[in-house]
Amino acid sequence: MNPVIKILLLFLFLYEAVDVTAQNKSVTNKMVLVKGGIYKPLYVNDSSETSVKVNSFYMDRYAVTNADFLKFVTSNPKWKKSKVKKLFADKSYLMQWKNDEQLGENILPKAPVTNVSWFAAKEYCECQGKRLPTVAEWEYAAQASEINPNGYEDENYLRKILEWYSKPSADRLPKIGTIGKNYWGVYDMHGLIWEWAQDFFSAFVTGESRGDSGLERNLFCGSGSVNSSDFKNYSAFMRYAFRSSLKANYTTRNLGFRCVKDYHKNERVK
Amino acid sequence: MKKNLMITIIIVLTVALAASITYIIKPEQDKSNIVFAAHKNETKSCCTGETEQSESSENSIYQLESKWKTENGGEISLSELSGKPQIMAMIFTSCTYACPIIVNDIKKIEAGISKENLDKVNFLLVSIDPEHDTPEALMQFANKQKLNLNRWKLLTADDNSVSELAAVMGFKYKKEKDGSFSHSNIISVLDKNGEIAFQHFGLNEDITEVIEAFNKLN
Repeated sequence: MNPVIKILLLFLFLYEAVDVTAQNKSVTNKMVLVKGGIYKPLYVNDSSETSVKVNSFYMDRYAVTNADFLKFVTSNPKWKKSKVKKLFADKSYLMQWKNDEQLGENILPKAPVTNVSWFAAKEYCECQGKRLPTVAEWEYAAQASEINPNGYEDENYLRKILEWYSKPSADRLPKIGTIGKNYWGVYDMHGLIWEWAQDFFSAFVTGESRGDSGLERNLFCGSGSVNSSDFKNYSAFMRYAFRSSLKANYTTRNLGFRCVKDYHKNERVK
Repeated sequence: MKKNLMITIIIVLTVALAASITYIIKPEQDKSNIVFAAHKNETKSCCTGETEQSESSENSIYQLESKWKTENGGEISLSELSGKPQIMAMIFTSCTYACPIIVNDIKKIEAGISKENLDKVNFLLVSIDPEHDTPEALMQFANKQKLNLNRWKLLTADDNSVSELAAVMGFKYKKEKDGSFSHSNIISVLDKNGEIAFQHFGLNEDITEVIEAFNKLN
């Protein structure tokens, strides 16, 4: 082969390598600081707080992807889909993946991983030195619109969220980052997937003594709130109802997660 | 000649490019590590490789690896409870309404089990209030409730262990601002391997089904 062509090929190869690296870099799951504030829980009873103080914390910019999670199961084989114990993940765990080590053709590596249980999500985060967000933290971060830390004051923003809730989810989940970022620099809080919370089990549908909510796990319908006086909280109601219907080993095709981490005052962060 | 010059130029460019990649990308990685560096020691040991799990049954709650303290201050893993069926509930001892009723319901179950079978069962109360329910507090509660500690055991652990156990039991709870908890009322029967054999929901309801579920295990 002509040496010039050889070198040109090498050049081309290197160029590709740079391109791939750049792509990876743009989706590295760096964390952003979410400055603390007040969160108003959806449901309150006589003994619960009407507003909860949320401390500052770091949040993953993106939901954890298939590629991220594949790396995790490769180094933690007990979380492979063929090895996982039923107690920790039900039988639809990672069912969209081709097998233990391959995602398969129809799965985007950069799409959020779904069909993961609370236990799997929790352990993933702990293995990164992180944790799952609490409901209060997640909801607090999610109420930010693009320009306002409390976007729920903005009717247009609320309408946008509701539009997503009224759409069935796509057959194939899109890549992370495609929905857009909010005030804190966190992407896709609404419109991509549902996400696990550390204390999902704190959501009671009835608030009374029986633990079972009676909601079907795939029933995302929030009909009970249609007549709610606070229509603005409609989407929050649906998330609440959804959480209350979950069990820790449940996995469903549009439920994924992202991690957070405590904020310590003297810590530097990029 | 011209060709050689071209090759030289391309080589130089290639090397320069390769060098710049290494240079540009490296500092980025370093920066992104800053946040995690300080907390590296928090990372779970699970992340270092394969931890071979014991071949316990798929649904056994004894697969949880948490450590618990008993009412007499001893330390225990859940798997140490295996061998005998357990009748258990999650409670907090400063609870004034629901928990005393639950404990009373379990006492009724205890009274309803035949004498010979009483040796084959343990009664387990697990605290959801790590902050207040020290082993001493559990012991006080046991004394106040006149629990026979040959058969009853009370456990406490940190928040994370409690939440994992609550999660596998399908038990919901939430701390309220007055320090109390909203919570499910569940009495569960575990078989000798730690699998949930039966769950009874609610307060002050007919407990005969619980006794039947336990008897079936023998």
